[in-house]
Amino acid sequence: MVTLIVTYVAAWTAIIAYAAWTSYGAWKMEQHSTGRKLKSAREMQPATVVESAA
Amino acid sequence: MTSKFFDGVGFRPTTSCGVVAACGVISSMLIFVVAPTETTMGDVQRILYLHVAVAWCGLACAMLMGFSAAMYLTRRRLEWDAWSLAAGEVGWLCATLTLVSGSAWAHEAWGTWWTWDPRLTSTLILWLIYAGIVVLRGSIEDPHRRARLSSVLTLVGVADVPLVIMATRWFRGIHPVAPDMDTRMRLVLLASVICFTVLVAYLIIQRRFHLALTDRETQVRVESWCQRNRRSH
Repeated sequence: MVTLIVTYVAAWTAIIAYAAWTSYGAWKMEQHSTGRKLKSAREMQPATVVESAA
Repeated sequence: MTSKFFDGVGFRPTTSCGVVAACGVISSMLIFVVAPTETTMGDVQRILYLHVAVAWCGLACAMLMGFSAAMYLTRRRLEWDAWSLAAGEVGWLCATLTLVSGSAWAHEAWGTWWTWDPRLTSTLILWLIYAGIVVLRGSIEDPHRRARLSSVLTLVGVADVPLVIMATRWFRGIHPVAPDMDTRMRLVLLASVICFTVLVAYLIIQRRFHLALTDRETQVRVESWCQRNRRSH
């Protein structure tokens, strides 16, 4: 029973570690891209205001 | 490498956690609760449900890798190479788990952790091929050269898949061919294989999505660097 549990836990630890690594990587990349979009939107805002005022 | 397949798709970490947790719970229930205890080997025989499932997934990943490599060599599109990389990584994980679980089973059944049985040896060769491809990918910078070389190596490596499948029939060894099991055991084995297939398919798609996002990010950085350079000149 010990062999079974050790093998099973080791297998699932490896699977969860891989899933977490790819999941965290994808999430981080999305955060980068969202942050960039927000930044560019903020940079665009003053120009839009000036344009509409003119 | 950016794929239109993932355009407009948002990543949800909760989906990832949900899929992995659901497969983990279903698999554990099947193996520890539903499956009956085998009379000769006892509880250790339950390793079989994990071992067969990950072995099947490892071979399926190798075939997907081979298909993606062939598609890259004919179309020369890096998208196919990214699929090959995703399948290769997950396949390597499955091949490792096959060897580890098989070794644990062998220790209880045969009294040894390892023996040079044809099935075991051909699986070890498959694992080495996976490892070789992953190492090769890490050592080449040019994306097309990397894709070309790893695709060729993948196609050579895929030739090992029929050998792994047929090793117990073509050569004399001690690995069981198709052991007798009662209906409940067969059903649990089938359900376990389906459960792991779903999990592995999800992991490949998730890794492919990760690669697509990484590539998109790199492209944006290169473009902004070029714009900055143009402005400064």
